[in-house]
Amino acid sequence: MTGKIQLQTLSGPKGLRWSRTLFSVKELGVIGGIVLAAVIFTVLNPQFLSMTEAASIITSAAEIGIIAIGITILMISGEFDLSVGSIYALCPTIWAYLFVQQHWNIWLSLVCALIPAALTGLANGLIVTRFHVNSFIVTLGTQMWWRGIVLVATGGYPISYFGSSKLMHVMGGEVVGGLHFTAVWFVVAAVLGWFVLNKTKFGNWCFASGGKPDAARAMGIPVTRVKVVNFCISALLAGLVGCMDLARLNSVSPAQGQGLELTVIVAAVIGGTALAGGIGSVVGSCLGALLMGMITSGLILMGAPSYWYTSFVGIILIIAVMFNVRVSKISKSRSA
Amino acid sequence: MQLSNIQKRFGTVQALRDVNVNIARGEIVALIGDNGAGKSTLIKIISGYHAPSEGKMVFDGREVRLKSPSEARALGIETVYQDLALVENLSLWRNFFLGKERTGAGWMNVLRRREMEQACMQALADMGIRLRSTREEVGHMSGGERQAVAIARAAYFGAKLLILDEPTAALSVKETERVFEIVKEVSRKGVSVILIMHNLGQVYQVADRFVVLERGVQIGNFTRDQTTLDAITQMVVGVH
Ligand SMILES: Nc1ncnc2c1ncn2[C@@H]1O[C@H](COP(=O)(O)OP(=O)(O)O)[C@@H](O)[C@H]1O
Ligand SMILES: [Mg+2]
Repeated sequence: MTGKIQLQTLSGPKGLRWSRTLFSVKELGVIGGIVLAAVIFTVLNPQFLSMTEAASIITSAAEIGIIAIGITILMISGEFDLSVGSIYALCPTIWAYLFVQQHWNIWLSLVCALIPAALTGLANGLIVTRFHVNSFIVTLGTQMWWRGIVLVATGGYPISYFGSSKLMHVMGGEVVGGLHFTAVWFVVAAVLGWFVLNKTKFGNWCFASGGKPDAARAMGIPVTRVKVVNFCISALLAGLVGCMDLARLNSVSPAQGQGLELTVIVAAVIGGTALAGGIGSVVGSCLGALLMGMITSGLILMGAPSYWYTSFVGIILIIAVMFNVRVSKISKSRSA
Repeated sequence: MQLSNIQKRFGTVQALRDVNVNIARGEIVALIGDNGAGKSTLIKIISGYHAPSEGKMVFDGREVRLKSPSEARALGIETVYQDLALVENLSLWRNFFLGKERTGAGWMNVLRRREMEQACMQALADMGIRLRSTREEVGHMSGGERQAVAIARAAYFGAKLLILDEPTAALSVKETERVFEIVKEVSRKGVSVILIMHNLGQVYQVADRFVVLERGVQIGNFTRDQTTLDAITQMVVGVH
């Protein structure tokens, strides 16, 4: 009863209220970035607004985005995962090896291919939480370990498969006009991730575990378990996206996904996820992935050498984080 | 709650010797003494972090041997630590129900948000705490508001004995008074309170009883009308 009245009295003049609402949108920075990138690329080449372009943007955004969702949940609970790039190569390699070269059932092969991802997540989580080793180090270690294994096992050669399969179709086949099923799975993962983080008990525990682990523990939250589960989610999503990529491209390269771990962290951070844990949003990370997709496609469209991508993303990362820090300060001082 | 002949040794360090305290229902007990006197050790024994080396604890008429903080909490002994009470980046209602979320049926454990927001608002209003909205991030609240919320939460979740470790350490005079009002409100509802405080002038305003420790020895145990502020100040700072 009193709550409502006081809320109104505090809101102040209309203009201020409006701007506070605007600045409290955590995703403001990345939305601005998307608008800016769209304008620049369209001016440089109007082709950027075509349907083909849109489909290609969404395709690359989907693959970055699904992994970024896992990373976001993990980062909110206070940890990092640098092993996703290697797992993204590992799982499809195993999958292809089992059903292409060993002629196993394709479904069974997929399940078997994802088991190492789950185990890696488990190992990452247990080493980080039980031995108190920083997750940067642990997941850098597992990243290097798997990259080496995959390169050795394949001799560095890609595995291809040009047969057709229902499973591969729903994982990465074309839906319509250059749009792939990965886009559908991106939406599914985004909705699910958003729901879990904001509407469930587990989501609440993730924010508490990353925000203030000791306080969370004092309130009876199983912080260790939350983190281990999130390491597994992150690894599994990376493995799954790798397999989707195989389904889409009919080929898997043992070298694929190098640097992907940084791309997804950048997507999350641009979208407002804090490096220190406790803060972040799935929506922001998805928008961040979209921006990365736009940059990839835009640069290709301009015929720029692909190396430009890295430089571009580096600048955008810094600008976005500066902006996010600024905005969060404004929204804090306004609502205090 | 009755503590009789509580002793605690850490190796060769005798942190507590022969502490005897009775705390009645709704009584506010101040635990005072210089640094190293054993205050923290005593509340850690009461809240289940340490087992006493010797002595007996009777709670609610039954002898208890606490093996963990969660056992103590299950009995209704809640401890509010200075910095560990709330998670700043969570909203008020999420903090209030943290670890005791109300959820719908099913494995997803969907939060019953509206219900928790209302219950939180109501519980705080019952304590005389009026806040703008339960959706506000705790990090945006003042130190006094946070302490008030932490105490209200402990009371709401069935505390029978509430232990507050330096609850007013970082608060302004006005905020301290608010916290004391809430402490009194809680005690009127029948909850016993143990306060650890350094500021004797402040604690003298609220406490019904004063237990003075010095180097692990209980050197005083007075009710409010048996002593004066000057007398207990003398005891705490007095040279031995
Ligand atoms: N875990 C521990 N191990 C060894 N000695 C301890 C431990 N905890 C407390 N002590 C000792 O017990 C004595 C009382 O400490 P403490 O209860 O923290 O005092 P206070 O809280 O009144 O300042 C001190 O001499 C301290 O060094
Ligand atoms: Mg102490």
